Amino acid sequence: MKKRLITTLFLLGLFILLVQCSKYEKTSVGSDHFERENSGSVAQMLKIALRDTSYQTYAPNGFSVYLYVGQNKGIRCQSLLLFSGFPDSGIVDSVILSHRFTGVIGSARGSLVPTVHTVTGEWDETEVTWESFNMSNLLGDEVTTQVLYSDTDSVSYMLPQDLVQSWMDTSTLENFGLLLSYSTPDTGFIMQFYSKESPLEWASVPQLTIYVTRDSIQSTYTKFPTADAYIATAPYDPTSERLYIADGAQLRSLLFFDLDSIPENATVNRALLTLYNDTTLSFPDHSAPFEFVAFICTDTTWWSSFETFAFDSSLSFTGSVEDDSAVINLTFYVQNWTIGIKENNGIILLGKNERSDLMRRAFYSRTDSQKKPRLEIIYSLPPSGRF
Amino acid sequence: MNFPRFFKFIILITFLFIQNVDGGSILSSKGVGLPFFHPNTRSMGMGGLSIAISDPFVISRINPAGLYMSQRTQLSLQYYFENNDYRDINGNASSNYSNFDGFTFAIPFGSGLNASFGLTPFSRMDYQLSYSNSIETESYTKSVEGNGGLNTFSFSLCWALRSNLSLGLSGHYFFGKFTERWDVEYDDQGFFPSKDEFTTKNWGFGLTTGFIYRPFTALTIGAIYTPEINLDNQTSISNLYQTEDKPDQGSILLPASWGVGTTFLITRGVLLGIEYHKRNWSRMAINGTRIQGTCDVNRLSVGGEILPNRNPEASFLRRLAFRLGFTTQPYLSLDPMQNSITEQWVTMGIGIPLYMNAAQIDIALSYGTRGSLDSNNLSENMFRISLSLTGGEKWFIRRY
Repeated sequence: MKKRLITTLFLLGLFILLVQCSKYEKTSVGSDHFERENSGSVAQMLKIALRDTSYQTYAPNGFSVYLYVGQNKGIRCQSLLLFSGFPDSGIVDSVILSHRFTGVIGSARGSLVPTVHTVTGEWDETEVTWESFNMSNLLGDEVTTQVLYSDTDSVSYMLPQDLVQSWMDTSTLENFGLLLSYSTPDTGFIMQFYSKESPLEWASVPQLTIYVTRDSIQSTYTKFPTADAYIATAPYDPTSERLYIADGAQLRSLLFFDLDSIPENATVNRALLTLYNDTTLSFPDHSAPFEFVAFICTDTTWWSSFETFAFDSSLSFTGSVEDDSAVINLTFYVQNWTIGIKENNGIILLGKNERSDLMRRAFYSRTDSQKKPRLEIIYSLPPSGRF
Repeated sequence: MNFPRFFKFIILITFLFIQNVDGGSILSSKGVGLPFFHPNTRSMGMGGLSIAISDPFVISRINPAGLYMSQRTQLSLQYYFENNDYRDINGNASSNYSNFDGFTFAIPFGSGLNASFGLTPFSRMDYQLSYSNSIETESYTKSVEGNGGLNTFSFSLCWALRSNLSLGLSGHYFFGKFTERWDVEYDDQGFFPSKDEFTTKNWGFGLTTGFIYRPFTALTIGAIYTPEINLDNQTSISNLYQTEDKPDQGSILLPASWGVGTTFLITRGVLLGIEYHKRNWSRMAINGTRIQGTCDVNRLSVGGEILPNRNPEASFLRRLAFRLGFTTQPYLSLDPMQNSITEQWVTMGIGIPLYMNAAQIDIALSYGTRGSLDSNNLSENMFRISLSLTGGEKWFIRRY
């Protein structure tokens, strides 16, 4: 009997498990008979930025695959190159620096051979910025160059052999590298060339060719940069009525929207931030696609100062500028603010390629009467109760 | 008796049915859902007659006093399938539902004392609706889907005071979960969907008393009474991103019910019966507030059975039981115009003895209608199959 009972109970359990099954086919039939005190709602909300501003930061560009030299529409770029590993002894006969341009921003005119300065102190490509370089007074004497070849694709010019000779003889002059720039105040163009981070072959990277005679035998040494970086700056007026996002010169924008009126139990279906582009201030022009990213600010210190404020770099969303407006989907951020997982301290927008190119976009701020930054939110609310 | 073989058969049948099981009626969205009045399959073949019915080959689910004829330890498993075609002015739809319809285990202790326990469904929620709408230029579909229900675990005692009078008492533990989920989905891929879910867990105790009296051999009279039942519950709300920390505490009042019935053996082989059952659903309350748009349900059932010949040597056909019945009642909720929704069923059934009367398979087929397009703006045509297997053997027999 016991065996039968166990078998019976086992099969009973199996039976229950097997028959519990259901699936659904959604339909609107019978909706008149579905009664609820309320069945929730879908709502739209339009928010105008309560606070917005831009600021300039200087972050190192040492890992960029490009180097830039020149000045165009106020954006000024210089490049730092450090060559090392020279022979211990010998007489330097000649030194040739050559690099191939990969592009030009603006209209190239005149000589494309840059002005070369020595650098008087140490710099680290992972840290050097326009601000740090100039504050440390690292700019040395201008070096005389002799053009061997100059074209829109590449330049090749001789450097004084004494310079490299003195680097080889370290007791005379310590090697801190070279700074390439254009001496003309506004060249109207910026030349672009590969850095050592370029994934292409080394032939595309600036190279220093040294001819050295030792024991009556001339040897040729080709050196590639062991460190390189470009430094850039752009004029920025903090009182400007435009919001800027700029790569290279690193302009960033901050916005805050008051979202307290969104109910805590709302599900944010979409939150789209729209910024209106002032195309007259785009750099180099507004035809090229421009992408930017948004992070959430972890505090509100930016309301008064940009010195110490921080943002959460662990998660970002990407937006793009198309025609005369920029749109970015901030649904996830707004949802987190609504349910209180994150505190709403605003968002920061910065260029997706902030440390590798020189593009800039300007947007109308909240001071504009028509084209204020706007956050359009569509959210849904559940019914107030089950019954 | 070879139990495993029986169960294999039942499982096979079940597999055949669960290939296409879908949702149920929108009417189940109200209160605690669509109430089950599922007596055993034999009674379902007789229009639901169950209050004054007792049989040694089936186990009474409705009236605990009906256990008095149990002479063997018995286990009954019941299966249920329903097809529902429903329509309103928006169109029509169809749904199928199938599920385990409970089990009952009965043990006779002798000296007129019998006991049983079992698990049976009490109500069922199974509905879904969807609406299309738009906000500004964005189109979305909002849908609601509910499922769950209440079940009861019952323990019953029956005491035959005299050969023609038995009393019964059942204790019920009610439990079950209702889930209602609201979805909002947009056509545009740039939107996040909404999923808000209400989950209500219910529990509570209830009682049913009953008696069966046979003033003379051919006539049986029965009655049952179930007082109001208070269920406690807690409802938690969650969406895709969070679950409410503190569930809302609440209560559900299931109204009292009572019923009387009688059966009469008009010849040696034909049983006829009539039954009236009332539950005051208009008194149903949730969190102390009565549910609006409900009415009392007065069910009237009539039915009959051509009793089987229990002689194992009789022909197979004569050993079958044939049943027929009819039942009518209003549905517990009114339509939006506060009109009553009439529900009517025609039923038929068959009982098939197995293993020299040691077991029995009962099958009931029912066809029902609920509401009308003209007066309620909703009509449902339903088809049900109930299948049960009851088997048993004598326990507690002194063998020396």
